[in-house]
Amino acid sequence: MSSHLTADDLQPVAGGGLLHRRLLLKSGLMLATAAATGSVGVAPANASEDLASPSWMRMPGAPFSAYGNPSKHEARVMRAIGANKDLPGNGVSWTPLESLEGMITPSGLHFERHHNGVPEIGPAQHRLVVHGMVRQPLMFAVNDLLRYPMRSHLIFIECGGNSNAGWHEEPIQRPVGSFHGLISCSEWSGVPLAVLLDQAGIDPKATWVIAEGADAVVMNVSLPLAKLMDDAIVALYQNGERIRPENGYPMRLIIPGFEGVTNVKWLRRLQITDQPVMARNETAKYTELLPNGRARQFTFGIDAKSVITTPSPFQKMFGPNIYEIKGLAWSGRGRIAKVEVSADGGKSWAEAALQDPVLPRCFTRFRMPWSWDGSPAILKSRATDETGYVQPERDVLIKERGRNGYFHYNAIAAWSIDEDGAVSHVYA
Amino acid sequence: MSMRDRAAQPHLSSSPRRRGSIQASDERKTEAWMDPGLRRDDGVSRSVPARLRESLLLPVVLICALISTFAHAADRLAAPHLGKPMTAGEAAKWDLSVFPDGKGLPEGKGTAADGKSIFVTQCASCHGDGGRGATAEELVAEPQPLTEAGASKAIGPYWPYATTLFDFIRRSMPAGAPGSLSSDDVYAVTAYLLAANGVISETDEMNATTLPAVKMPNRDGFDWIDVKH
Repeated sequence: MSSHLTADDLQPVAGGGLLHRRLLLKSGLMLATAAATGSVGVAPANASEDLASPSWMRMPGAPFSAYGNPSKHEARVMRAIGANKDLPGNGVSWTPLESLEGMITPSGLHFERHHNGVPEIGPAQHRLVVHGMVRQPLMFAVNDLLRYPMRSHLIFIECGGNSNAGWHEEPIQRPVGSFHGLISCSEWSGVPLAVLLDQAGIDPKATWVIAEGADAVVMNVSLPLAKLMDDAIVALYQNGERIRPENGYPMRLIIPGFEGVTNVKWLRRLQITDQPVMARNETAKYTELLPNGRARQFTFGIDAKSVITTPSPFQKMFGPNIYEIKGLAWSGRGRIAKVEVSADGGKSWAEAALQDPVLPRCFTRFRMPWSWDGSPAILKSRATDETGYVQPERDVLIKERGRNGYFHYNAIAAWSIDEDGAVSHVYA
Repeated sequence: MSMRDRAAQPHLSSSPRRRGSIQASDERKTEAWMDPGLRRDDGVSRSVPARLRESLLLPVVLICALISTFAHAADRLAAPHLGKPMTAGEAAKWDLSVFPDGKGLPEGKGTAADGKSIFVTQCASCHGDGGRGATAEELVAEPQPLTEAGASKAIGPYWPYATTLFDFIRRSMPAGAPGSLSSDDVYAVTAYLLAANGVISETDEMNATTLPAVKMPNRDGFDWIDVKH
C-alpha cells in the first residue's frame, strides 16, 4: 500500500463501509472491480503461453485494418435485443451499460428503438423538406446540409420507456443494461435547426413543429418551436463519423434533454404549425396515465436519474476487499450537481466523486471507494441536478405516478449483495 | 396583461418533488423551450424571445440567451442558402399530417361495415380478432374508468382524438405494407375501430367532415407537462 494512504483514509464516511471519495485521487489505493460472471473478463491464459515472452511478441502482428473492430475477446459485449417475433423490426436493443466505462457509448452499442425496422436509405435520394407556416418552403439534399456550418452536442439520449420494468410488482433480474440501457451518450454534430428555419422564414404565429422520419412507420411527433430554435440540430455525424443506419442515417433530429422519441431518426420533413398533430406516439404512447385517471402528455424533459453499473446484477464480488462503486448519472434539465451513494439501503449516504467533464444533459460518471467486509449490503445511488431536483425513491415515484404510466421511470435502483458476493435487484 | 407580468409566470408545471434549489439554478427551468409561445417575434433582435427581452426578472436567462444569440447570429450570417425553393403544391405532396381539426384529411369515406373485411384481412393477424390484441397491441376495449389499476389504453378508453387513427393508419399500417391502403380504406378501418369501441355507430360514415367531429371519451383527459396550452 502506498505511503500516501493512512489509516484515517480508510475510515468509513457512511454505513456499510463507504470510503471518502478523495481516496480516488490517491495513487496507492488498489481497487478490485466486480466482474460479470461468465460473459466478460480475461480469458484464461493458454497453458502453453510463456507469460514473460508470449508468442505475439515473437512474430509480426496483423496488418492494418481499414475500419477497426473490438478485440475478438470482447465479442460478447453487445446490445441485448428485445423485439416482436412477428415484426422483428419493432422493438428495442439495450446498451450493455454493465460492460462499459467512461461517458461515451460506442456508436455500435448505442441503444435502438425502431417501430418498423431500419430503412436502407440512399443518401442521394433523401431530402429534408421544411414547410408549413413559412415564407418559403425549402428542400435540402444531404450534400447541401454537409456544406452548412455545424455544431456539436455531447449529450445522452434516453428513451421515454427506459427502465419501465421498474413499474413491475417484482424486481426484474437482468444485467443493468438490459433494464436501464435504453440510454446512450454520443457526440452529435450537425446543422443548427434555427439556421434552416430562419432561411425558410417562420411565421410569427407558429408555435409547433411536426417532425417526421423516412422509416416504414413514417414516425411523427410534435415539438415546441421555441426549443427547436434554441438548441436543436439536424445531426449528420455521431462520434465523429456519419450517423449509422440504426441511429438515423443520413440525418436525425437532436434535441438536447428531450426524450428519445422526439430525436426523430431518418428525418425527412419539418412542418411548421400552430398546433400539435396529436400523433399516435404523443397520445396513445409516450403519455403517462396517473392513478387519478388523468394522463401526463408532452413530458419531453428527462428528469435526473442515476444507476450503479458496477457492481450490478449478474456481476460477482471477489470477497472482502476495497472496491470502486461506479455508475452513471444524467439529467435532461442541466448538469448533475451531485451523486450520493448508500451501501446500507439508504440509511446513510456519502457523496461520490464526479469525473470531469460534467456537462449539461450528458452522462456523468461517478465513482465511490468502498471497503466491503463481506457482509450483506444494499447499494443505491441518488442523483441531484443543478435545478435542485432529487432523484426519487421508488415508493415516492409510485405514490405520485401509480404503476400504469409506463414511461419516465427514474427512481433510485437498489442492488443487494449477499455474503457470497452475488448481486441482485431488490426493491428496498 | 403586460409583457412583464406574462414573463413572470411559471412556464413549467411545478413538481412537489423539486426541492432545495437555489434561485439562480431555478431560473434555468424557465428555458425558452418550455413554452412554444415564447419565441422571437420581430426581425430586429433576431433570436432573443420578446418575453425574455422585456423581462427584468430573469437576468440569468437573459445572459444565457444573449450568449446563444451571438452564436446563432454568427451561424446565420455565415451560412450558405442551399435549400431549394418549393411551391406550396410541391410541399403538399410530402404532407401526411392529419390534425385534430381535420386539416390534412383527404377526400374519401368509409363505414364500419366497409372496414370490417379490411381489418380481418390486413390487421387481425397482429391485433387479434376484433382488435382485442395479439402480438400487436389491444385496440378495442369496453368503456372503463381510467382510474382502475391496469386500465386499458385502447382507442376507446384512452385515445383523445379520432383523427389520430387516420394519421397513423395511413402512414404506418399495415406493418407489412405501410402506405398501401387507399383513403377510403383508411376511413373504413378508422370507422370500424371507432364503432368497435362504441364511440360511433356501425352505420356512421367517416369522412373529412365527420371524423374530426367525433369526440373521444378521453378527449379532455390529458395535461401538458413541459409545454403550455
